[in-house]
Amino acid sequence: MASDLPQGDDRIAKIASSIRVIPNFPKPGVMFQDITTLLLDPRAFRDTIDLFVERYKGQDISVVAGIEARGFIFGPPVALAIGAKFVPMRKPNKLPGEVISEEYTLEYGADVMEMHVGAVQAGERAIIMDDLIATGGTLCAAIKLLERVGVHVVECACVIELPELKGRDRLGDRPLDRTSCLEGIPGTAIEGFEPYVDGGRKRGPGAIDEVWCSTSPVSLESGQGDQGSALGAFGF
Amino acid sequence: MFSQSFLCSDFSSLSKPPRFFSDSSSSAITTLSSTHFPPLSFRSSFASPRIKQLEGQRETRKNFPSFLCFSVDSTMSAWDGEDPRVRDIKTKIRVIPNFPKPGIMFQDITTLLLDPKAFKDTIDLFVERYKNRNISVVASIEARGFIFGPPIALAIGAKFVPLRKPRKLPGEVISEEYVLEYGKDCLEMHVGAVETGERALVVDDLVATGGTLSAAMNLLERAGAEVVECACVIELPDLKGRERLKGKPLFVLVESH
Repeated sequence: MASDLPQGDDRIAKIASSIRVIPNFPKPGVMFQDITTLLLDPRAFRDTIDLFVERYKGQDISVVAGIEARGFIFGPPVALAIGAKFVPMRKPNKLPGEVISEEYTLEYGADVMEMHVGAVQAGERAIIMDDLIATGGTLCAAIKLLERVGVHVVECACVIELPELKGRDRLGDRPLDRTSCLEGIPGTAIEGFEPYVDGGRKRGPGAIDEVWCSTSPVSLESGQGDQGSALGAFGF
Repeated sequence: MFSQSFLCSDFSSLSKPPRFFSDSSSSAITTLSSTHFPPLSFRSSFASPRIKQLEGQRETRKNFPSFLCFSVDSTMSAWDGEDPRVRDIKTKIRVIPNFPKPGIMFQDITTLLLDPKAFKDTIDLFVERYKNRNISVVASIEARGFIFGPPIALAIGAKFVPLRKPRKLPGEVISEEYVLEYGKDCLEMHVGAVETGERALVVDDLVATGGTLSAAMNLLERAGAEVVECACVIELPDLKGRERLKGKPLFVLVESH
């Protein structure tokens, strides 16, 4: 439970407060969650990565897939810290080698996501990372790409969730984790963020039960390096 | 011609040079082909006589990709005396001929990312160089720069600043135009991301002509930061990008001719 991790709550609140909301970007009515301000705070950025690393190390995860382009910011540090490979999932015609493709629908039209052939092996355990989950369309496409080659997608992990867009429902029975959650009311500027307490278990009906806080309190002693961070254990 | 082939591990036992992504009998392709697969899009053509084709070799180790083979130009052997980590990193970079267009030998770092140790070594080599140099900003260029910049920033305690193509950054930006082979492009940075006097590092996966690095440096300097150095995994020295950096030092791990 989040309450079992006194440090966890504090870190999440600071992470949430470092995220900037830009109204009406990229179009009117959209409240854009800007993580670049989080990246300007080394402590908050480190805490973000730590929270994921604490959750996934020791889980025999050999693949971290990240979705272009903001997923490339959070995925690699997590991959490095847990000793997994990093696999970029990209828009068409960016990856130079042989690829497999998955089409997915947007609000208007469709898009395509690609992954290199041979990047992953059947039977590997993977997590997929992105900065934010909205409708879940891109995450779904990423899941399908990995599952097509026989990879087990253990969880999807995002910094931010926009729960009103019900992206979680599109993931089917696959769990979703996120470090902070923005209970945004569409069209309203959010002054402060209220991170979910209690592991998000007060989500609405039909929501996937989160695993986020169901594990025992993370033992930070194994992860604590000189810098007092899970990253420190890996020489960072 | 190639004086030696840098191969991924366990190829010393091969009796003939491996081939890379050849015909359908290649074990790398058939290993992955299954009834689940739609037809694969096969963009690369291997018509270039300069490239010795290497075959993806089935690899029994769990986390090792089976397709990872290539050859490199013999001039890279000048780096043989270097840190052994650099030599290993070199072997993990895949060269894709004729991508994105004929005549270009594309340096593919995605295969480096598939090797956790080599990826970590790459980051370590930069971190060892830049920690304790009072660098408070690591700026990287979309999108492959985003893979290398953040781990370095995290390890040295610096902020990370993404430099992006137009209309990607949501807040107020400053823009820098730069010249391409045909036409122009533009790089943007958020206003307020860096402060006057901060010491900055620019990180990208590769430097070719130096156009994007130069634009990145200009953005940071316009915002009042001091660019201490540019850092890339790979340099294509024949394209003389180093000369476009207005005298700023460039540090790279690997050269490719």
